[in-house]
Amino acid sequence: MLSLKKILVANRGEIACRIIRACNELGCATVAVYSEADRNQPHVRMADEAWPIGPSPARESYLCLDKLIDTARRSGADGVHPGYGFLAENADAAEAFESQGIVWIGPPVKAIRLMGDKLIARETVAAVGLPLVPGTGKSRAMTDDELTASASDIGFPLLVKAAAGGGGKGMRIIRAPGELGEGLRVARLEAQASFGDDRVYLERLITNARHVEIQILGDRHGNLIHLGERDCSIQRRHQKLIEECPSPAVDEALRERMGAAAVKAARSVGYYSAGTVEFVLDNKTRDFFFLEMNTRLQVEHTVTERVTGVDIVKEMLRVAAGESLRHRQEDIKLKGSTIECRILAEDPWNHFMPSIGVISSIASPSGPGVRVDTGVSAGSEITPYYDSLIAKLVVWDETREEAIIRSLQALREFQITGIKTTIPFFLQMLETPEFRSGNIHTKFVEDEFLLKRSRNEELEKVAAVAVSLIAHGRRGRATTLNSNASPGPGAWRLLGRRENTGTRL
Amino acid sequence: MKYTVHAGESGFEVDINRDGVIRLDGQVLDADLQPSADPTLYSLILDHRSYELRVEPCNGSYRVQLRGVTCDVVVEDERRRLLAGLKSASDPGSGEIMIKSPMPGIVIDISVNEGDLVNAGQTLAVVESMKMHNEFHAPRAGTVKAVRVKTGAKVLQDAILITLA
Repeated sequence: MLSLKKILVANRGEIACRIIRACNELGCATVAVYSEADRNQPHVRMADEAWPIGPSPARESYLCLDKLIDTARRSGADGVHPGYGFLAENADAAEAFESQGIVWIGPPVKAIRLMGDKLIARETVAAVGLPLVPGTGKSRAMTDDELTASASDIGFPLLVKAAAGGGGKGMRIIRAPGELGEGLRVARLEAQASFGDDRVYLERLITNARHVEIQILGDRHGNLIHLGERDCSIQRRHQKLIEECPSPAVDEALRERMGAAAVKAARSVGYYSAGTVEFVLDNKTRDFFFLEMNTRLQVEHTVTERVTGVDIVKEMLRVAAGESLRHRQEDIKLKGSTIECRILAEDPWNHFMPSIGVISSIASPSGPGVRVDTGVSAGSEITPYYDSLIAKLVVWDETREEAIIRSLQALREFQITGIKTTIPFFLQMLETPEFRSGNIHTKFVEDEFLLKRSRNEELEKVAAVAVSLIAHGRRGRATTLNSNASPGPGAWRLLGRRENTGTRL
Repeated sequence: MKYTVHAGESGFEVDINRDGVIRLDGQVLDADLQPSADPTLYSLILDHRSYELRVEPCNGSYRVQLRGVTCDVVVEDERRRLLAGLKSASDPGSGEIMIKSPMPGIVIDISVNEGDLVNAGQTLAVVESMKMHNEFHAPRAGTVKAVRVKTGAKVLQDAILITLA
C-alpha cells in the first residue's frame, strides 16, 4: 500500500485521466478540479471527488495556486500531481504545496528552479561535462580577430549572433571562412542599431537536426536511471506532432552515451521523479548537444511506457511516497517500436487553425498494440481556453515498419466528428518516403512536407451515393410532413419506420 | 428524383426513382444504406463492397468521413433552395465592412469604441484561441459603426466583431 492516500490532480484533459487511472491502480483516492468550461469533461466523472475552481480562463482556475492549495486542504489530499503545462514547472507552486505538508508528485523544488532558468541550466550541465552547441559563449566582448580564430574550432556553417539579441536581429549565417569578415561587420552594425550593443558571438549552425530526448526516472534515495530516448523530430513551430522510440537515428552505443549524459545532468541538480533531458542531434555527425531539461511528466511519456513496460506515472507516485525505484538500469530493455501521433483539434488544411466545437461522435481505434489516451467523449466541447490536444494515439509493433503500418490502420479507424483534427495530416505524413526511411529533421514539416489534397474516386463515389440516399430520405420525409397540416400519428409512424429500417434500395 | 452531387472533386448525376432504384451516371447500383443509433454513423453496402461512414450536415452540405478520408458532399437540389433563401436575407445596398473572426476564440482586447475614427491598418481587436493571439486590423480608414462584442466574450467562427462605415 502506498503511503499517500488521496491525490489532488491539478490538471484537466487526457493527462488528468491518465493520472487518475494510476492512482486508482495504486489504491489512492483522487480529487479532480474543474473550471466552468470543464464540468462535463471525463476527468471530472472519473475521479472520486470533484471540486470547482472558478471561471474558464486558465489564469482564473487551473493556474490559481491559492485555489488549488485551498482545495487540497479542504478535500484532505496529501499529495498533488501537476501533470504537464499549467503549474507543472512552477517551483513556487511546488514549494507552496510542500510547505503545507502536501507532497509534490514531481522533482525537488531546487531542480525545478535550476533547470527553469535556461542560462543557469546550461552552465550547470556544462560544468558536469554535457556538450552544448559549440560556440564562443556570449558573456564577454570579443574582437573580430578572436572570433575569427575560434571559428575553425566551431566549424561551418555557423551563426553570428548578437549578444544582446533576439528575434533574429543581428544574426548572420556564415557558410565558409571567406564570408566571416563581412558577416561580422554587418552583424555588428545591425546589433548596434537594434540593441545599442555591438557584441556578437559565434555558434555552430546545425542545419539537419533531430530532437532526441532521454526519459529519466529517479527516487529520493539517489537512484537515477534512464528509460531510453524518444525522437520528436516531427514538429511544427516547436510543437511536437509525432514521437517515437527507438529513434531511427540512435543505435545502442549512442543510446548509452546520451543516456549517461542525461543521468549526469539530472544528478547535477539532485533530481528525483520523472524528467526529460532534451538534446539536439546532428543527423550528419551524430553529435548531440544539451537543449534543456523538462522537470515534469511529458505528453509523450506513453511512448517510453510501451517500449520499456514501465508505468512512469505509477513510478512517480511510488517515488513521491518515498519508495525506492523498482528497476535498475540493466533491467531496462527496449522492446519493439512505438509511434505516438498527437490528435489535435486543429485544421491541417488551414495552417493548423484551432478547431472549436462539440465532438458529435468519437470512435477510438483498438486492437493489438493500440493505446488511446484521451480526455474527451461524445458531447465534449472543445473550447478555446486550453490547448488543442484531444487524444494521443500510441501504437506498438515489433518493428518500426510494422508500427507505421499499424498506426495507419488505427488512424483510418479513428473517427471524430464535429471538429477538425490532425488525423489527415498523420495519414499522409506516415506515408512519406522520408518518414518511412527515418530520414527526417526538425524542419521537415515546415520546409519540405506538403499536405496534398488526396483524391480517391472510389470513396468520392461512395460518399455521393450515401449522401444522395440520406438527402433523398430527408426530402421524402419533409414532403410527407408538409402534406399534413398537423402531423398526425400516421406521418410520425412512417418517419419512425424509415429511421429504423434504413433505406433498403 | 434527379440530383447533381459534388463529392470532393468529382461530380455525379444521381437518380432515385419511385421504386427506390438508384442510378449513378446512368448505371444501376445495388445500394443498402443503414443508419445506426449514433446519428453520424452509417453502413453502406454498395455492390457487395462494405463501407463504414460518418456523415454530418455542415453548412448546407454534408461532411463525410470514410477510411480516414474526409470529403464534403453537396447535393445540388437542396443547395438551390438554400441559396435562394440567403439572397433575400442579405442587404446588398450597404457599403459597410464587417470584421469577422475566422476562428472561434476569446476576445482579449477591443481597442476602439463606437464612433471612433480609425486609420487603415489600425488594430481593432485581439482574439485569443488555444494560446494564440490574433490581431484584427482596419482594412481601410473609416468610422467604427458598431462594436458587437465585449472583452472576455467567447466568439464563434465568423462572428462579427466590429463593423466599419
